Amino acid sequence: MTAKAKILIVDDEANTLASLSRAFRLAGHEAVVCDNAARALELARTQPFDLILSDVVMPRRDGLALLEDLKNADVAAPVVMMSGQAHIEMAVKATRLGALDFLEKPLSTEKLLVTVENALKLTRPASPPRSMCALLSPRIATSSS
Amino acid sequence: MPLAYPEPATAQFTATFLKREELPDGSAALGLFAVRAVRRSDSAAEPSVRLVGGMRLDQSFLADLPVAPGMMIGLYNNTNTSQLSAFQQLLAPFDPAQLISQFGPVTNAVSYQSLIDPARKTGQTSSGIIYLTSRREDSVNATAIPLKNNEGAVLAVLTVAISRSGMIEAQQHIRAIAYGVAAGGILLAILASLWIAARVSRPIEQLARAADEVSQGNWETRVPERKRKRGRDEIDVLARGFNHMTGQLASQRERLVQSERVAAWRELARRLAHELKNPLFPLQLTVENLVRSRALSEAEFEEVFRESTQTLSMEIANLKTIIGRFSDFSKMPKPQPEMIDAKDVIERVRSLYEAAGDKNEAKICFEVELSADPMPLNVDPELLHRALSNLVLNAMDAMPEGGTLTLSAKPKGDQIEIRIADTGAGLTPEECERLFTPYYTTKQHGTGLGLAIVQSVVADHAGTIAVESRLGGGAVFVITLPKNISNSR
Repeated sequence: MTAKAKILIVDDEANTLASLSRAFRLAGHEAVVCDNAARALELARTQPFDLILSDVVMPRRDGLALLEDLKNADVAAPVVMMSGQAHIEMAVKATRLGALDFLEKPLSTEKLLVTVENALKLTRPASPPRSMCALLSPRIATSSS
Repeated sequence: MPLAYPEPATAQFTATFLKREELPDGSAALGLFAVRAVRRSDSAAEPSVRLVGGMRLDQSFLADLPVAPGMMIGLYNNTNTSQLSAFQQLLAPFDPAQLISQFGPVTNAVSYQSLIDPARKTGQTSSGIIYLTSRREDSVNATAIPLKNNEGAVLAVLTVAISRSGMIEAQQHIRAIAYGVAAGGILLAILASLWIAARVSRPIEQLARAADEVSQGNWETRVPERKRKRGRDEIDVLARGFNHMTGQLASQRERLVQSERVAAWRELARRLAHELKNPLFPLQLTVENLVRSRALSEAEFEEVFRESTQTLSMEIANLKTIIGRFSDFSKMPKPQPEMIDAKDVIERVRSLYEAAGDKNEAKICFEVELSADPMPLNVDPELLHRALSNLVLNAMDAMPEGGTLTLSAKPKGDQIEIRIADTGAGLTPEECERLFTPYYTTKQHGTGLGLAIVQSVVADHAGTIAVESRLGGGAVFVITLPKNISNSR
C-alpha cells in the first residue's frame, strides 16, 4: 500500500467535492476541497500537496487557466484534470500545460484511486518511505554539492 | 355683191370667219361663215361670183359637235347683250342667259362667269375648276376659249367643261384603297407586336415575376416552358434554366430542412447527455463510497451514510430540475402573435422582478427607459415575456452584490430595440463569444438552456440577439424585433 497522500480537489460542484473527498478519505488519503481556481492557487502556494485534481469547466477562471497559474507560480505538485465535456483538444491542451493525466467524468472510484496511485508513483520514483527519505535527504544534499 | 356685203373677209375667199348676222326677222345671231369664189371657165382673173355661207352658232350646232361623254360644250354669246360696240360689249356685265350648251340653256351659268369674264376681257384662253354645287363631285374642269372676229373682237366664248365626278370618284377610290392599305398595315403591325410580345416580352415578364416570387421566398415558382422539338431560342433556354434553378432550390431547401432537423435532434441529445452526466458523477461516487464504508465502524458508517443520502437526494432533485427544464424547452409553443406595445411587456417584467430584487439582501435597483413613440410589436406576448424574464434573471444573478438593472426600448427604423443592461462583473470577450453556444453556462446549477430559450423565442419572431460587455463594465443584451413579423418573413 502506497503512503497516504494529501490531495487538493478543485470543482465548482459542491456534491462532486463532497463525494470525491469522501472517496479519498475512505481510501486513507487526506483531501482538501476548494470550489474555485483563485482559491485553489492560493492553497497550492501555501501548502504542499501530493496531487491536485481539478475540474476543467468552471465559471471565471477554468481548470486550464489554473494549470497555467500553477506553472507560473512554480507549484511542483502534479495536476490531474477531469471534465464532463472532455474532448481531444482539451486533453491535448491540458497535457501541454503540464497536466499529468486527463480523466473523463463520470468515472469509478476504483479508476480514480488507481490514477492517484500512479501519479504518486511517478512523482516518487524511488518510493522509499517518507521517514527514510527524510533521513537520506541531508546526505544526498551533501553528496551532490 | 361685194358692195352689198361689205365684209373684208370675203376678199380672202377661203377664210372662215365669225360674224354677227342680222337676220331678216330682225333678230341677230352669231354665225360661222366661209367665202368661196366661183370662177367662170373663161376668166382666170377676177372671180365673178363669191359665195358666202355660214352656219348659225346655236344649240343645234353645239349638239352636232362630237363630244366625249360627260363633256359639255357651251357658247356664250357676247354680242346679244345689246347693240353695243365691240369695246362696249367687253365692259358689259356677264349675262347668264347668253350661255347655252348642246343641251340648251345652262342651269348654273353664273358659275362659269369666273372663266368667261377673263376670256371676254383679255381675249386669252382661261381654264379652271368650277364648282356647280357645294358637293365636290358636282364640279367641272372647264376651259373658256374666246372666239374672235377678224378684227380681234371677242364675239363669243366657247366653254368646254368636263365633269370631274369621274375623277373624283377615282380619287375617292384611290383614297379608299390607300386607307385600306394603311389600315391593313397598322393591323399587321399590331399583330406583329402582339406576336413579338407573346414570343419575347411576355416570357421575359413571366421570368421577372417569377424571379420576384423566388426572392420573396416562394421557391417552388415555375415559368411555363414552350414544348418545341426544333429550334432553341434563348427565352426557352432561360425558362428551362430558371425552372431547373427553382427545382434545385426547393430540393436543396428540403435537404437543408432535413439536415437541420437531424442536427437539432443531435444537439438536443448532446445537451441532454451532458446535463445528465454532471450529476451522475457524484451519484456514482456516493454509491461507491457507501459500499466501501461498510467495513467501517458503525459510528463512522452512520456518518458516511447520512452524508451520502443527503448528496444522493440533492443530486436526484437536481436531475429532476434538469429534466423539467428540457421538458419545458421541448414544449415551447409556436408563437401566437398579436399586436402589443413593447412598453407593456417591459412594464410587466419590471413589476414582476422589482419586488424580488428588493427582497434580496443585495439591493437591485430597476430602471426603465422607454421611448415616447408608440412601439407596436406583432409578437407572442407570453413568449417575449419568458425571454425577457430569462434575461432579467441572468442579469440579477450577475449582480450578487447588488446594482442597477436597466430595461429600455426604442424604435429603430422598422424594428424595436430592447436592451437589458446590468452593472455586474461583465463578461470577457471569450465568454461573450461562447455565450450563445449550446449548454454553455457560467452558473453552478445552470443548464445553459436559459439563453437557448431566449434565442429560440427571438429567432421565432425573426429578430436578433447580441451581447455587449467588457470585464468589470456590466453586460447589455440587445434584442431587435421587427415591428411586423410578416414583413420580414
